[in-house]
Amino acid sequence: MGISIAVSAAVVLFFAMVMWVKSALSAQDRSFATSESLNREGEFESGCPAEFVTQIFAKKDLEYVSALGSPQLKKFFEQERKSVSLFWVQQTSAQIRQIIRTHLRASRGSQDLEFATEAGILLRYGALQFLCGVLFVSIELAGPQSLQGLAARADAWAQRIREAQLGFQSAKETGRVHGV
Amino acid sequence: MGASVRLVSVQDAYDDLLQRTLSRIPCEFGRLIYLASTRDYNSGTYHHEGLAARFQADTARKALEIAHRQVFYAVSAYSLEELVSELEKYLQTSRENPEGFLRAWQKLEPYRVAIPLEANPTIARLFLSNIRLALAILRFRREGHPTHP
Repeated sequence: MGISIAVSAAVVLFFAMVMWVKSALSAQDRSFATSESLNREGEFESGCPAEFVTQIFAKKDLEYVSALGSPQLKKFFEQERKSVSLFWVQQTSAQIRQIIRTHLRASRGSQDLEFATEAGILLRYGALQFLCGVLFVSIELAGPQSLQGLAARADAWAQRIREAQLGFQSAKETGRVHGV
Repeated sequence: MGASVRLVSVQDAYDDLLQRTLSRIPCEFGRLIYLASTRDYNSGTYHHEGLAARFQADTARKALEIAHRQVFYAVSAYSLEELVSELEKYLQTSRENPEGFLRAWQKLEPYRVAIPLEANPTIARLFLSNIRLALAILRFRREGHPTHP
């Protein structure tokens, strides 16, 4: 009994991860175009403001719709919020992937890189991508409303990577690559 | 010096726009639709005859662009309940037949033009999704049964 539950859970998790990878790959081309346009206006570095991330994952709107007493409206709300939250996860993941690509390209030409700093950035990147994967699967399975804490953490990590890259860029521009 | 003078005049144009035009529109959603309507569909540039006459066309354009972005982010930050209330106010001020208005807005989605050109894509998604939901809620309230696209 326990083994069959574990196997079922593993199968569900596997398919969810496959979906995540597929959607991340299909979003890749789109996100390049998007991040390119964002880069022009300087929003690439800032991403989606935290207050909107909180709003997407908040329970307040769900409570409001639930109080209306229509199961169809509630279902419609859940579909809509799931779609927006999955979009945010994909955007965040794609944006950070591009930041890391840019960072790696820039760091190849640097003379005085600090190994610990670079390892730290890559570790943070790996952890964030894993967290995005977990969020994607969890949103698919349970909806975004119970994941506000996890989303806030992913957003904070993404923000730290953006800031690290900005610090790296400005240090590189002034000829010093320290404290990224 | 030149840049600060330009910034001051954009601020002046922005204040003028707020005082003379936007303050007369009774709801934030109405202000958003109004500002979006000052943008040319083909070129994406803003134009306001009166503002351009009082300030330079370029200054007026910048003030309109800033105002549009600010109002868009303000409306996007509304809770669903607040947005439903805003949309209801807008519907009332439009003096259109409510059923016809809701049907047209759900089918044609004209609110898509209210998104500024360089809006954050996630916020734009949230905005569109919230409008779809608010329209469905308004229709549900009016008809007494759930309808959504």
